[in-house]
Amino acid sequence: MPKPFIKSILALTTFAVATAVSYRFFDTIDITGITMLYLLVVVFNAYFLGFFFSLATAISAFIAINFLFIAPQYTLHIASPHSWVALISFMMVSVVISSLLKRLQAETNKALNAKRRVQFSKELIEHIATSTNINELLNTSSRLIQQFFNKPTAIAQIQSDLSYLITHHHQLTAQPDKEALEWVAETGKVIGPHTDNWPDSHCWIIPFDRLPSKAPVMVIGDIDASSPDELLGDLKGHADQIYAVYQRLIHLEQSRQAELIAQEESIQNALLASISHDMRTPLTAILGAATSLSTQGKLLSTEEHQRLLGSIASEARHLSTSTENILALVQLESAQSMHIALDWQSPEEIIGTLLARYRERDNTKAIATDIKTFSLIKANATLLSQALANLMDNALVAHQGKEPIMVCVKESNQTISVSVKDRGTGFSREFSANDIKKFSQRDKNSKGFGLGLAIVQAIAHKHKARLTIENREGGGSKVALIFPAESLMQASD
Amino acid sequence: MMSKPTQIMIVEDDADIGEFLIASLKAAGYQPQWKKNLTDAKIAFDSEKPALIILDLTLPDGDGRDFITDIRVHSDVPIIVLSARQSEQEKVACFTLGADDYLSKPFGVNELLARVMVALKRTTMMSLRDHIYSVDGLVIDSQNSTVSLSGMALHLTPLEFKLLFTLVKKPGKVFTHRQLLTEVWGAEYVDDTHYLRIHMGRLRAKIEADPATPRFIITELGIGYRLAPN
Repeated sequence: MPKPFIKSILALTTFAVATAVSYRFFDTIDITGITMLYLLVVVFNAYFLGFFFSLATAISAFIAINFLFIAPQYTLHIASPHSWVALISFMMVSVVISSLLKRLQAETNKALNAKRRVQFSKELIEHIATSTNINELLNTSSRLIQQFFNKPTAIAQIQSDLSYLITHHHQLTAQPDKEALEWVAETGKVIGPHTDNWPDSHCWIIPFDRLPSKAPVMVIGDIDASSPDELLGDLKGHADQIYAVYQRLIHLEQSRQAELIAQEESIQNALLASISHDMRTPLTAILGAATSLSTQGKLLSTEEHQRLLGSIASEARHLSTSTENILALVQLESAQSMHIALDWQSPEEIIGTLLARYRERDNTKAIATDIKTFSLIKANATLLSQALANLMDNALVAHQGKEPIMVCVKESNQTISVSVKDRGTGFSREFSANDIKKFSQRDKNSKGFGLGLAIVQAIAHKHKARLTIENREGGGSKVALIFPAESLMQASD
Repeated sequence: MMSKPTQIMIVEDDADIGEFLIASLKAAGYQPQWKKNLTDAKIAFDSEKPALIILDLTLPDGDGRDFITDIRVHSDVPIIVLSARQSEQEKVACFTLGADDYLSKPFGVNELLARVMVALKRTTMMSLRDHIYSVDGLVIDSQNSTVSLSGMALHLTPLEFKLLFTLVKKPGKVFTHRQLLTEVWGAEYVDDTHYLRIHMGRLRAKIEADPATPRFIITELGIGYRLAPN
């Protein structure tokens, strides 16, 4: 039903009720009471139905009072000047009250509207402040603005090839003009009705950045010259709010990238620093031994022959380990943490394969395992094996005595740890996992020591595992990789 | 009368590795022949019928994997692939095509000879006794579906039986994770390697003295498993 129709019915009803009551009780209430009653109806209608209906009620009441209650009754003639004054006063009071109420209502509406807008502004900030990425920010903003203003909304983002990609559109069907989008990006100015630019278009294009920039722009559709000016003001304000969060996220992402680069650089520095030691030393030894054998072979004794050949083999093996470390490093650096293929791996298998390799190479040092679980670890088999190999290399260099080097897998408190324990000299008291880079070059005489632990740490990092280093009671050290609950698949028994 | 030495074909384009292979195999009593490209290898294979092929994958006139495919059309000759340790995908692809084993570069002479021996043994053993596997007290009788360790019958679950019987079809040969999952669980399980790993862990706990140092079921990390040859 149309609203004016309901309002007319209401106005008529109130008027009829007032007239009926006055007519019925005309004997007991005098003309003053009747005018007051009608005045009440006029005020009621002014407040609830608006100026037009209250004026109509006032005029009708004026006629009704004259016709029904003022002598002579049932005529429009007014005999007494006293009645004239009363009637005209009634009319004037009605009109004044109606127009006052009209103004009050307009002010109230304005205040309510302002309150709503402020509330939305607050709500928008609250929603977008917690955005963790730009995509989420733009999507939430676009959706909330569409819902609040009930206008089709979209965000246009400039691409690397300078084309625009319309994203996060909520009900916006018509594509904005490419030329217009480019103009907005070049000038940082708004396009659309109530502006000097493209005032005839049917949308507003509002840039996030008020200066020429490649920041996204907001497109609000379904706009024409009748759209209120203040709506544009509000939207510009919201664009500023969104842009503030946008910039924060951009900075956050940049600092994240910088941190990543710094981390990679530190690994790279460790690599470069140790290449000279880890690779040149064995190469020098191999070259020396080989040239000696080929040029002076006849002058050397059988024992010397054997010794030089043995050294070529052992140095080559060391070189091979270094190469594997470097390959692991390249793999770690080239693949972002997301892209390293992780699968459920059996720690027993990885350790078993690794130890088989060590036993084949050198069985003079005893290695034992303590694995009492079938549970699996989410890992990259090559990288985990590499990390353990580096820990084994360190343990083999440091280890003394008859007790075997222990490789253990343990589950506790929803985590799973893989550790290598030796009976060597242990780490110096002040050494901790945080100092791996600082201490990586501490012992220039031990083979491959520094790069090894730095790689173990990088591998742990890629697996979200924790690297712990501690000295054991009774001598030696224990180095462990502790994997979080999400990297553990318990095998039910 | 001395038996004719076993012929081994080496397909490798790198001169130093070729020299090393030839010298080591000759010293071990084999008769190696060295082909430096696929074209020569293909011609020689048809005429000389080697007992084993050692194949490098990157060759000047093509991919070694194509050679595996060609050979498997009409021959079951053992093929050992030479590959870099990092490239598991490549190894898996080779096993899927029908390679028997691989040697990770760099490798020593002991590893080379051990792998050659295993691959040669597998062919002779298969022709002799097809259905009884017996190594160090572990006896797998695939015809009667029984498994015993040191004379004691083992109680295995149906899945564990199936796993073991798949491996025993070709002792010494590497079965990839996907091959085992397809054979034991079914084609729709090819990506569920965790099933395989957990059941393999349990199976090893039953048959191996020290599962971390397996004697019977050898892990090929990132690739699959093989049963130690007898």
